[in-house]
Amino acid sequence: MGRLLAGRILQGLAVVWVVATLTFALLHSAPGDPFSYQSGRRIDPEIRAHWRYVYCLDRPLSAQYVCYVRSIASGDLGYSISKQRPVRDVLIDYVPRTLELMFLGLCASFLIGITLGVLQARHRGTVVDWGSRGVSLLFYSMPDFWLALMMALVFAYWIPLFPISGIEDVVAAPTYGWWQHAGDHLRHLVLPVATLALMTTAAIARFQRAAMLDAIGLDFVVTARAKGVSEGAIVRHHVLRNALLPVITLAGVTLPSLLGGAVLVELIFSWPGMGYLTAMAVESRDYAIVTSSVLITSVLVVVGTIAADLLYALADPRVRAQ
Amino acid sequence: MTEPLLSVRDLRTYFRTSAGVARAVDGVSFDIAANESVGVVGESGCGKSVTSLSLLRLIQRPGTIEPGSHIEFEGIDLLALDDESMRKIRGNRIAMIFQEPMTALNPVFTVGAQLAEVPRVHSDIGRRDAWARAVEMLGVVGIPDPAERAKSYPHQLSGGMRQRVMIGMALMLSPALLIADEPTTALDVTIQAQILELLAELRAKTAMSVLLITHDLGVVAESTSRVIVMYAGEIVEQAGVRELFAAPHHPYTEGLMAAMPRAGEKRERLTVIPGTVPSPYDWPAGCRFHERCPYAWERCESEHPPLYQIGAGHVSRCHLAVEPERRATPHEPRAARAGVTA
Amino acid sequence: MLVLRWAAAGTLVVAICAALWRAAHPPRGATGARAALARYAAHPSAVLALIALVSLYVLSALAPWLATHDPIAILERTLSNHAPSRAFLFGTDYAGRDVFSRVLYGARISLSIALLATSISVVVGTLWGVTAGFYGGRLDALMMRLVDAFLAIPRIVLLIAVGTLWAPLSMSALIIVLGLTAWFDTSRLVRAEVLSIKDREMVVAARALGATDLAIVKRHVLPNVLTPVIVAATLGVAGVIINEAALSFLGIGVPDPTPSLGNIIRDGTPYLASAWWVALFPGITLVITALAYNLAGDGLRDAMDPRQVDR
Repeated sequence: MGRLLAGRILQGLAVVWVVATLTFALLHSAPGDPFSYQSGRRIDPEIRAHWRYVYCLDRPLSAQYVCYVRSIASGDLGYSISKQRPVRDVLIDYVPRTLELMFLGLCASFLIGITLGVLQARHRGTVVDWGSRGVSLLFYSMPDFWLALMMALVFAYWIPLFPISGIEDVVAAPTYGWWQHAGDHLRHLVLPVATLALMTTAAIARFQRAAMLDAIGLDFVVTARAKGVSEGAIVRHHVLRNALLPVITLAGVTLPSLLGGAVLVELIFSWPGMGYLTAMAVESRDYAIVTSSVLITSVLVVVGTIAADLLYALADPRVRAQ
Repeated sequence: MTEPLLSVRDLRTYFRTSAGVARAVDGVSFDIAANESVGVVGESGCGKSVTSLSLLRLIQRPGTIEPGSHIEFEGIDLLALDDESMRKIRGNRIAMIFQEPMTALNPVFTVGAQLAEVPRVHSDIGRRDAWARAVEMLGVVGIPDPAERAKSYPHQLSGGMRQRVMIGMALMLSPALLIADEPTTALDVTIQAQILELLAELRAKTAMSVLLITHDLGVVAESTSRVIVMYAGEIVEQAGVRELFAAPHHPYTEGLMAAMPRAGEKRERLTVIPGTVPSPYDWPAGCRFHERCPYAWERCESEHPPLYQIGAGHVSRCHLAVEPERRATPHEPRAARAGVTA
Repeated sequence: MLVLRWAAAGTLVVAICAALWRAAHPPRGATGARAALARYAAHPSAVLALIALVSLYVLSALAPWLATHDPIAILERTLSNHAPSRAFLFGTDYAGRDVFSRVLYGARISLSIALLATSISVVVGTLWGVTAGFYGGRLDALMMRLVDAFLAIPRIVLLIAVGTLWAPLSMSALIIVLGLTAWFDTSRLVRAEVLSIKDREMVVAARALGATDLAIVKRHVLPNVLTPVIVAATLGVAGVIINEAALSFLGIGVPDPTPSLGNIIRDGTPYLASAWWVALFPGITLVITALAYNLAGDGLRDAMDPRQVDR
C-alpha cells in the first residue's frame, strides 16, 4: 500500500512538472513581454528587479526554464498585476473558497448521482429509468455558464429564493452573529453548488447505472438469488458494493470538469474563488494569475486523483491484500 | 407409493428474443424422490442448466417458463407461488451450487459473511449466531482452521476450497433438495474426486436429494442412482445408472458412452458423434437427433418420437423401441455425409 | 417571401432525413455499415437527434438566406432590449440587433467551428494514439504521460490561459486551439484499440510476411480503430461547442460583432433580469445541439458494437 502511494505521488509530481513546463512555454510564446503591461499600469521598479532576479530574465531560455521551475517548486508563483500582490498571497485568499464549493459540489453530485444510478438500474426499462436518464442527459448537455444564468434567473430573480451573488450579504454581514452568518453563507452557497452538482450528477448517474447493470449480470448475483436474498437486498447490498468501486475512479475524471465548471459558475455568482479570479484575470490580461490557475488546478486534480486511488485500494479487498 | 419430493411435468422454458423464440427446455418431465441422487447428462446447449434454473424460478428476462408447465415440490405448486414465497424456498428447502465458484462468490465480502447471510435472510437469527454457524459449516465441509478462514475473501482461497464454501452455503439450512450445476467441471480431477466424496458424505448424513447436472458420464456413474439424458431441450433417455451403462438404448446415449475415453483401452481415434446440436430457435421436426444418428430412417425424419417404455424405470425417446430390428443396419449419419463434424 | 424560403429549407431537411431513413432500411438484409445504420435507426432518440442535427446544420448554413434581419447592423437604439414580437422573433439585444437572426448566424459559426475543431482533434488524437500504441515501450509511456498531464488541466482553464496570452485569437487560431485541446480522450481510445489489435494473429502473420509498419497500420489498425473514433468524435463535438461558447462568453472566443452563440449570451448577461430572452434562446440552441450530439453518439456506440445487449 505504501508502495502504491509512493508510486502515485511520483506520477503526480511528474504530471505537475509537465504542466509547469507547459505554462512556461505558454508564457514565453505569448506575444510581448509576459511581465510587462499593455494597459500602462506602473510597476514598482523594485518589483521589476525582483522579477529579473527570480526569473533569470537576462539569461538564455534554458536557464530561465530552470529558474521558473525552481521558483514554482518553492512556492513563488509570480506577481499579480491586477491585484498588485504576489500571486501566492492572492491564491491563499481565493483558493479555499473554491475548495469549499468543490467539496460540497463533489459530495452532492456523488450522493445524488450514485443514488440515481442505483434507482435507474433497479427499475431498468420503466418510466423512472428513461425519464430520469433523459433529464440527466439534458443537464449534462448544458453549458455550465448558461445553466448558472438560468438558475440565477429563476431562483434569484423570478422567485427570489436565493441571493444572486457574493459570499455574504455585504450590507448586513457586519451586524450578523455567528449563527446568522452561517445561515447567510449557506444561502449564498445553494445556487452555485446546485449548478455545479446538476451537471456532474448527470455524468455520475450515467456511469453508476452502467456499473450496476454490469454487476447485476454477474454470477454472484445468481448465487445470491438462489440463496433466497430478496431482489432489493441484492441490489443494495451485493451489487452496489461492487459497483461503487468503479465509480470511485470516476473522481479522477470528474474533478477537472468540476474545477472547469467552477470558473464560470463563480464568475456568474460572483463567488470570490479561484475561478472568479481567473475569469477576471482575462479582462486585465493578468498572465501570472491565468498561468497559476493552470498549475493550481492541475495540482488539485492530481491530489484528488491520488486520494481516489487510495480510496479504491482500501475499498477493494482484492487490491488491499497486495 | 410415497409422493415424490419433486415432480416436474411438461416444463417448457422459452427465450423470446429479436432473433426468434429459443425453446431451450421443451417439454421435460421427471420426478425426484426423497433421499435420491439423480444425474442429468447432456452436452452444452441441451437445456440441462436452464432446467435447473427453472426449478428455482431463477430464469430472467427474456426467458419465461411457459404456461402449462408444472413443478411441484413437497406438495407445493412452485409456479403458482408469489415471489416472496418462492424466495423463502430458495436456499432454504431447495439450494443450488454452480459451476464456477470464483465468479459465483461475491468478491468483496468475506466467505464467512456470505455463509452467514443464508440463515440471516431466512430467519431472525443474530449476527453472532449466524457467524458461529458459518464457522461450523466450514468445518463440516472440510476446510481447515475454519474460524480464521471465515474471514478470508474468495480470491484468497483455492478453487477446491471455494467450491466447498459454495456447498457449505447451500447446506446451511439443511435443504431437502440440492441442485448441483456442473459442480466439478471447473476443478482439477483430484479435487473433483474430493468434492464428489464430500457430497456423498453430506448426503449420507442429511438424507438430502441431489440433482447433479454434468456433461461427464464418469461423474454420473460414480455419484448417482438414476440418470436422465437430455438432448435438444428434451429428455431422450432415463434409467437407473447401472442399467444405463449396461444397456443404453438411445443412440445418443450410446454415442456419449462410446466417446468416453477409457483407461486401458487401445484406440487410435476417439469416437465422435458427427454433426452439431441443432439451434434451439429451430428444432427439427421429427426426431431431433436423426441427422446425427447411425440408425435413422424415414420415420425418424417426420415423426417426433414419444418417450417409449423400455423396461422398469427405463424410458427412451427413440423409434428403435418399436422397430428394434433397425439396429442391425447402421449407416453413416447424414451429418457425417455432409462433412460436418462436431 | 421569407416564408417560402423557410418552406424550401424545411423541405430540404425532410428530404435529407428521408434519404437517410431509406438508406437505413434497405429491402434486403444489410451487412456492415448498412446494418449499423439500421441498428442506429432502431433507437427513436438517436433518430430524433439526427433529425435535429440535420435541421440545425441545414438551417444555419442557409442563414444568409433565411435570416429576418441583418445580424450585425445596429438598428435604431430605441429598439434595444425589446421582448420577442412578430417582427423580432427572439427579441432584440442591448444594441437593438435582432436576436433571431443573430442566433441563426451564430449557430452557423459555432456549428462549423465545432466540426472543424473536432476534425483536427480526430486527426491528432488518432495519430498520437496509433504511434503510442504501435511502437510501445518508452515512447508509449512518454506520450501517454503527456496525455495524462493534459487531462489533469480542466479544459476551460487551459483554453482561458491560451486565449488570454495569445489574445486576440483569429478565427483559425481559435479553431486550431479548440482542436488541439480536444484530442486527449481520442488518443487514449485509439491506443487501447491498437494495443488489442497489435498482438492478434493477423498482424503477427502480416509482420512475418514482411509487411512494413505503415502497411500494417493502414490495413489492419485503422479500420478497427474507426469505430471507437467515430463514437468519441461525435460525443466530442458536444464538448467543443460548449467550450467555444464559454470562450466567446468570456470575450476571448469569436470576436464582436460576429455573432457566436456564446457571445450573444454574453451580450444578454448584464440585462438578464429585464431582457432574459437574449440569453435564453442561444442557450437553448446550444443545449439542443449538445444534446443531439450526445444522443447521436450514444446511438452510434450501440449501433456499432454488435456485442451490446439491450440495456
